[in-house]
Amino acid sequence: MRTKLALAALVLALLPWLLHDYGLQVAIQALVLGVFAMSFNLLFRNTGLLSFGHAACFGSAAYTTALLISRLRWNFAATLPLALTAAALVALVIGFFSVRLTKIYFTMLTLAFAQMLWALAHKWYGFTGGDNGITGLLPPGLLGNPKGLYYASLMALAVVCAVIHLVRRSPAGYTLRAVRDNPARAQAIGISAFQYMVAAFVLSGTLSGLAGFLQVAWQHSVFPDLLYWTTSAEVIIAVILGGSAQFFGPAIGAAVLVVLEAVVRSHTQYWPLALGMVLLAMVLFFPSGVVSLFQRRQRQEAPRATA
Amino acid sequence: MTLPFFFLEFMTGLASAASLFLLAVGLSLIFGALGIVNFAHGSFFALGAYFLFALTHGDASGFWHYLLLAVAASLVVGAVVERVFIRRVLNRAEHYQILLTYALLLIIEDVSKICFGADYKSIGMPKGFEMPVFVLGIPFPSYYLGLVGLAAATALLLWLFLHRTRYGTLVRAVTQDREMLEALGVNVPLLFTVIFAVGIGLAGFGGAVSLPLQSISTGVAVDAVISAFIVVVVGGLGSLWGTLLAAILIGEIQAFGALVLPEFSIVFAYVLMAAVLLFRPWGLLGRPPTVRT
Amino acid sequence: MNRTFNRYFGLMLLVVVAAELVLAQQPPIKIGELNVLSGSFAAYGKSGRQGAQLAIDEINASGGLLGRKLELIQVDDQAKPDVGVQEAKRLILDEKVNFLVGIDSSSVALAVAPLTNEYKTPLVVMHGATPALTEQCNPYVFRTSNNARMDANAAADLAAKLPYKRWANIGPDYEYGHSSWNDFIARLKEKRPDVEVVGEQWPKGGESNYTPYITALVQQRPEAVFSALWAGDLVTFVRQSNAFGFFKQIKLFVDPIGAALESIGPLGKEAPLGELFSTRYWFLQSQSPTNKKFVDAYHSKWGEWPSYNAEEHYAGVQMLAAAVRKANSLDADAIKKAFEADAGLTYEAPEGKKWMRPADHQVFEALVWGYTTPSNDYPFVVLKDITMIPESDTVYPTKCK
Repeated sequence: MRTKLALAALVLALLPWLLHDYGLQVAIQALVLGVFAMSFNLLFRNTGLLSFGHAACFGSAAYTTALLISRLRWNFAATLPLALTAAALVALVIGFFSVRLTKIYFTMLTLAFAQMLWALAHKWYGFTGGDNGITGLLPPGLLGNPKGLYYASLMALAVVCAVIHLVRRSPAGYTLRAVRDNPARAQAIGISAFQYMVAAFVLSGTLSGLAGFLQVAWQHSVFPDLLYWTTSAEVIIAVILGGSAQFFGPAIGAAVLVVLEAVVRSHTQYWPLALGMVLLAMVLFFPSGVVSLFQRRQRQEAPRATA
Repeated sequence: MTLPFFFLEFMTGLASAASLFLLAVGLSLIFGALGIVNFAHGSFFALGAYFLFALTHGDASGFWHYLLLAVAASLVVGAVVERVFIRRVLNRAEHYQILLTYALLLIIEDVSKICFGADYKSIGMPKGFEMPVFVLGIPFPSYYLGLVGLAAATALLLWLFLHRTRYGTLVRAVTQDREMLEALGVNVPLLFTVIFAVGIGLAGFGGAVSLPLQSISTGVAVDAVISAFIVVVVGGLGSLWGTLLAAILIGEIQAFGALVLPEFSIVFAYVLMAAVLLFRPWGLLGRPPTVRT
Repeated sequence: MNRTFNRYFGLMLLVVVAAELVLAQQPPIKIGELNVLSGSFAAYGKSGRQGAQLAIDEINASGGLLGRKLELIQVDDQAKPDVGVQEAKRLILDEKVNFLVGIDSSSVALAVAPLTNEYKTPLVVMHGATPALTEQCNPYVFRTSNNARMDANAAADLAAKLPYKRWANIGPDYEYGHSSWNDFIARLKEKRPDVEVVGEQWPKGGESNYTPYITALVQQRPEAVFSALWAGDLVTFVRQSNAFGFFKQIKLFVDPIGAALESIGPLGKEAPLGELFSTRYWFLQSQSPTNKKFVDAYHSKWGEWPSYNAEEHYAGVQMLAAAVRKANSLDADAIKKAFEADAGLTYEAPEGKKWMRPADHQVFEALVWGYTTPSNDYPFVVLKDITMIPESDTVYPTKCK
């Protein structure tokens, strides 16, 4: 496992020198979605809560960065703390109200909140520019250079993975999974499920905000569609496609999704059709995700505890 | 605002509500009975409209005959989709159900583009409804009244079916206790296929009859499914009258919202949805979920 | 004698074949076209492609551009700015296009414009009409079609001569809709301070149900209504408002691109009569040989009459080709100079003379306005009582350079 990881890290580090212009752009896009997907899975895997509102955290960080740069002429990198704060606040509000509900009602409420934010961004012409978005946001220096942005995104992914790893191993992580597996029993031993789940939501949302910040650095613009429910759907697809139960599943799923889209789009306009068929195949034939396809052999080993 | 115009706006809201009701009632039925959140529901609504357009070639003279064909086609599509795809995810975690129906949304969207073309399709008013009626001295499209009548009739027929027929009782029973029904020897898988097909048929019907009211093109399905969710959540997942009430509420909010705060009228519906979820998550007329094994 | 002849003949053949091979191997000049190909504006993407393709076929038939063939790659931007940016990047980096052209949606045009500086790829807009695009003063963005400000000003000039005082607006809620109305009412109020705005309605672009907006508008009892609704939106709106008897309740309806064939075509007999419409190109207007040749060529190739978007794409590609020939290069800066030189490049399009102002790269041209009337020769309404607004009346000051 360690050697596989080291090898992967080496390849990732050398990738910008092996790819041409367009390939590098695709790689950066994959990394940004990877950060988003890993952050989403922090919530999903540890609490079982399927949020359709993560686009709100992702998009509000992106818009914060865009607004600070375009309206107040801030330096690009300096907007990061505020962007993360915005994402955290949005996550706090949505999480606080939604976590009390279960299953489909939770999903619907997160969807409603995210759509409200989208509608606001879409209609508040004077402030957000409506559906013209905010364009021409070129980051100076390292982030403005494709190779620089690639390494910055790679570092962000590494940081997010490290955070997730630490949380999983921590007492808080175990508590979350206890609440996920048996809420009644957790409550019986005095765990305040609500606080833990809101905290997880906020952390997950904040890290999604990091992805939102990187998205602006890559796209050089923001549009209200970053907040639309289909963005939330995209990250969910990336996570499940890669495999939610595998540590790196979401990141791999994100990479597969982005690369697949780039390849398909260069041959046909019917990318949604292709994606739909891939999803169908996944749900019907390999529901544990892409990573699980390479782990068939390990299934014969002794079953691990669900952790 | 004068009384005639108030009434006019109210009737406009009812017409939107009629379309919303037909769109959402199938979703509510499917969720109540099968527990599936059908992200592709808007796509079947759109498909009904596409079928009707394709059959009539945009000419409204054969409207009613072709409407029956379009609904029949929707029923068949619903039955096939349930048998081939939905059945496999009935007992799986909800995110698989969501992804499967989302995949269907994507596929139907592009297949519609390929089969019917990517541009908008619209149709004139059907025979007998071309001239406006005069409501308190103001012209109002007669078809809108027809639509309201159709929706009301559908609601009534559905209620009669669910509460006055044996099969309807089975449908209501399966929403409450699937295992017991199986133990009593009822062919539950067949029941599911029928319910899903009816739900899709209702959506297709809704899309087809809404075509004179609003044109159809790509992107309608994505917006429609969100509208359907809002209606069903506000009304109560699985509740017939709840769906009707919610449809009327939201139709009127959109109609009067366009007068009061035109820029933000779309926000109102989401705010209502959030408010209901916060204070009465099972909807205005829904029942709190019973504990299921 | 025979052997000598054969040798020379063989050599000549060899030279000709070699020349053909060399020319054929010259990579084509790629033009990336961004259009709306789905949704309520999809008919425009189709006519745009047809116009551009006709121009490209004509150029290729007469030897290509700078000795190379032209190749058109069309993609769908779905009228969404983020999709437009993504596809534009792909066209530039992956397909390696030399130019970007087209763009129907103003919002997409604004979003794609910054890419021209980043990648030094010229963008020639042939449809998207917000004045903000050229007011950004981008060095490599050019617009060969008229913009919404020119249309709105012309409309206001015509409206000022009419006796109506109570005006309302119903327009699509995005950049193009807002800028059109703002320019129109500002200019109208300048000329007619007695004019009163009784209401504004802003349905979203691609709206499928206009009824709440129609009833709201009717309630406000305007005498005349200005609208920037276009394409499928206009068709849907007219159909639905006909059911309300809307056009009988107001005195005049004004729409700067109401007479586009993509709108009056599908409407057929349902189109309102006696309304003041314009279209950026009216195929029956100009009797010049250039126009006749274009209309005939377009009709025989595509089986339909050229709409304004078809003509604008045709003329735009031809004007770009003229600039390339003048610059004798594909370099972005050389093309910029070619467009700007000699007080601005001019081109004789089927619709008339186009002149590009060097300061902001906006083309100015005469505009055609008229009142809708039924026709025996065509299945759609045509324009009568036509007023040609001369090019000089359409010019407005710019803050560029």
